[in-house]
Amino acid sequence: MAYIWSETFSNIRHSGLIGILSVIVIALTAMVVSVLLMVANYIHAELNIVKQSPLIVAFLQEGLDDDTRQDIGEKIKALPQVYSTLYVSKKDALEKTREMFSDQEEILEGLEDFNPLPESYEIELKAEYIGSERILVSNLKAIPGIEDIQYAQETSRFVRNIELVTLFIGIILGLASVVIICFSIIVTTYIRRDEIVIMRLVGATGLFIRIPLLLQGIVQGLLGSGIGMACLYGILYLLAPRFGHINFLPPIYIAAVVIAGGLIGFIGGALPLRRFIKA
Amino acid sequence: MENLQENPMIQMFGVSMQYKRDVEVLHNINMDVEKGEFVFLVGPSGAGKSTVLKLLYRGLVPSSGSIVVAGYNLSKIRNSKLPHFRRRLGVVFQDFKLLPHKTVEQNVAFSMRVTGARRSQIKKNVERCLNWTGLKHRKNALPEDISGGEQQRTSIARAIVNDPTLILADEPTGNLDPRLSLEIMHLFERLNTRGTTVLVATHDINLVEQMEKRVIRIEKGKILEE
Repeated sequence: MAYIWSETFSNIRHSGLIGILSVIVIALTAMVVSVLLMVANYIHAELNIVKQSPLIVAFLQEGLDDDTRQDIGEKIKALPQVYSTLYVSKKDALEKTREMFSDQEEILEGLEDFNPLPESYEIELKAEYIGSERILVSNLKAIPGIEDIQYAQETSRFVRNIELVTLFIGIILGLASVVIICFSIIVTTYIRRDEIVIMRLVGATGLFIRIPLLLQGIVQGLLGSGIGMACLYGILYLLAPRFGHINFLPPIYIAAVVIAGGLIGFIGGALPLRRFIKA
Repeated sequence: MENLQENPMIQMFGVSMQYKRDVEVLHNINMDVEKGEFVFLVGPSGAGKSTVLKLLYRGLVPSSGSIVVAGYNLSKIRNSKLPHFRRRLGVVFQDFKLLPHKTVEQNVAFSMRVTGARRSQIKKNVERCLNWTGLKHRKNALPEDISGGEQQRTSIARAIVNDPTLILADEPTGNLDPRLSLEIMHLFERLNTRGTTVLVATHDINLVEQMEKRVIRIEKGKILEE
């Protein structure tokens, strides 16, 4: 076993620049995927807060007269799922927006003359209907004068999209890492071809030749993802005084990213071996 | 059955080898080498000597015919059994094939380490082989720091460290001067007197004549005479 590990680390040393490149690519992959996971995590957390106050916002069409607006309000109140409604005028909407961007007022300058924010009704659900917002949304859509509806489900869909993008980018970067590790192992087998020939001639088993190369891929993968996570943590730590505390990934996610790095290394190590190491 | 445990160390029956469809390197080779024999396979460059040796350690598979070496039928041997078969052989090459970043001692030990032998056994065998080949004082040197003769003796020490029953040597003196060549041949002779079967492929007729051993001549892929 000691021999296999010494061969593994010797392989990593001998793989030179391409070996270093493999580790860097995996580290970058781990960093990008981790950032995307952090974004998805953050939105998830925000979504949970939104879900605790089940507010649905029904935006009204432009230019409705007072009677129509009131009529819409009555129709909303009459729906069985609705607990309360609050009318938000264009002016109120602008005030709310001003409060949200109180430290960047300049971006809202001039909006008094041309206020693009629509009027809306903020709707609170009855407790027994929490979780079945879709029924209310379809009822609201049937009321003439309502242009758009925003609710937590919309945000859920957004988070799901972010998760899909994370998965997609993760797969693409993962494949790139596999290819780079394949190259690294091929280069190693090329550099050590004489050694491998001699190993075969003196009766080394296929496993004895392959295991150090497989371990090389796994070690490079684990090393790369570990370095990537450490770098990201370091960057967030350095940015904290400027941007405030940013939540890092939970331990289970960190473990998953590092293990995924090892898995990528294993696949990258295993793929070229069948072709390059023959009996 | 793969391990036939029959008498001759090497048996080749009607062996032909084609590298491409119409390039026949060996044609209908029949050859027996008994256990404990010392045999020269002699012929000019390109005659097919190296191909014969590659077939004997199963570096190549013949296009037709069958080969039995050390009791193993190489036509039927499974890949999983190849390492066990090869541990019974010692192979020596013209270019030594030493690992440049390993010392003489490490090169010799390498053959045993990859078979998973115990550390104490490796130490014992390596010391014995270095003594036997006269390399004890050079054990810590790298291949680039020793002479051609010493490099070839290192490669012989590596070939015999696992106590093989058969030594296959492919032009082992091709890179050496006549004095060193004779020295290497005497090393093989000493091995042979201990019971190891030796097959040496060479084109050096003078050397072969000095050794007075059995000679198999090969030319254009055919055995000519014995």
